[in-house]
Amino acid sequence: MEQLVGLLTLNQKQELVGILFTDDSYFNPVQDANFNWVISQQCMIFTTNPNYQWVKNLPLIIWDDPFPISGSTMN
Amino acid sequence: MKLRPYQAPRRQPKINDMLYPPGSRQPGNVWVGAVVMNVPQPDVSPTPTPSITPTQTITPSITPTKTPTNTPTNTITPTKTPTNTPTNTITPTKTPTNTPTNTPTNTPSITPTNTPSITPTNTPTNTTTPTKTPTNTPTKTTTPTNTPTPSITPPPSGTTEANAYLSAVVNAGGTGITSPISAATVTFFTSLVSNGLWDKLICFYPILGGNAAGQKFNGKNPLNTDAAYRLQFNGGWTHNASGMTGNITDTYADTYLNPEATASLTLSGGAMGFYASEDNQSRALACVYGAGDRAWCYTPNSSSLSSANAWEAATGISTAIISPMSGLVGFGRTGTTQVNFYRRGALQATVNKNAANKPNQNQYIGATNSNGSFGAGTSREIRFAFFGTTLTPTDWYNLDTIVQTYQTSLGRNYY
Repeated sequence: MEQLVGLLTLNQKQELVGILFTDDSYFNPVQDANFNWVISQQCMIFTTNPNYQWVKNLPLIIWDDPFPISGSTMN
Repeated sequence: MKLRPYQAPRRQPKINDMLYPPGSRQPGNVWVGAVVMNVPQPDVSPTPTPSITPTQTITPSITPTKTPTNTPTNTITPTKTPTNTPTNTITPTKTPTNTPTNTPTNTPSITPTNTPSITPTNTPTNTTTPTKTPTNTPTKTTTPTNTPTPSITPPPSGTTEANAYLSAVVNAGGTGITSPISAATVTFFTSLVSNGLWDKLICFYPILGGNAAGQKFNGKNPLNTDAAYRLQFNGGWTHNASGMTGNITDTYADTYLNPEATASLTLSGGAMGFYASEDNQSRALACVYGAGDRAWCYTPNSSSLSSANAWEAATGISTAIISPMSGLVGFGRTGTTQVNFYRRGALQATVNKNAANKPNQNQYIGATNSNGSFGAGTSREIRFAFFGTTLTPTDWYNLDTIVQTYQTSLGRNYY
């Protein structure tokens, strides 16, 4: 299942480390398999921190998992 | 000036004989008429002086007689003092009462008898007594043993603990804590206590409140601190009344539970379990890797296996896939060589594997803590999680029943 994530520049990634995007929830920028820094769409959507509303406008790319899931979803 | 005693006249002496006796001048009295005049005689009357002196010597001899008599009286006083002391030691309330009562009683009875010399002697004796009294008083007042006792004495009932947890959830901004949910939570907590599970759980997460603020609390210690193993959410978790759901991109919850730093997690014990959705994916529900051969991880239903790392990272252990996985699943060590997998309260498999080391990193839920770096988040929904010490098969059975009952009461049971 394809998943979209928000693409960050290196400076943006460094700016988000240790920052709450909403109550009791921190940004967690990660690298995809192509070494792009990204955050999940959930982070983008749930951000209420007024100083970081710009994350809602990040460009979206397809999540390329660095740790491919080997199982199958059995929902 | 001293007076001579009266003596009956013997004969009428001549004045010249008296004043100037033959041979030498003699001391004597001068008779004037019928009155004897007392004449000062500095060195003229050696004879009467010694006779008076012994009389005065008797007086001091009486004084020492009284002194020894008084001395034993004083000796009795200290004897009474220690007698009162043990009495005070037994009954703290009576201590101040007895001390002042004895003190005034002894003081007046001795003071008039001994007059000035004894009074000061008794006074310091009394002074000593109050010195002992305050020494005993602070010792009993402080009673550090009594102070912690009340906090230790009341064993957990589950009700108080449940209410503390629910209050923490609501006060933090959690929502949906209705009366039925509160009642179900109290039942859940009291069941953990009555079944002897409370003390075996290091931390557990009921995941109530519908948002991160409410779902972060550890039911065992619902404080908003790292030391209380409160969850710190990272990444885009989805929180709602059903539980918390990660995404495979950036989610993990830091428990701040460091196995290496947790004495109750021993190499011969330890357990973890989850009430989670049935997704099959190669992502750990909870995992921590430390440097070297040390890990504590659980990945149920990854492809065709369920796997774990139980105080080792070299090879891990695995067993058959759990199908269906719904219900409480988990594993635990029962000794340094054996690991048991459980599902719905029943033993699923036993695997022999030697324990090596405990990781010195924080335990993550929903992803892997790879020696301090984030790795591989799961997208499973989690409705309950716990970490504990060794659980017996009976414990696993009871815990599964309690958790299933609780989830059913909350309306979010998987089966």
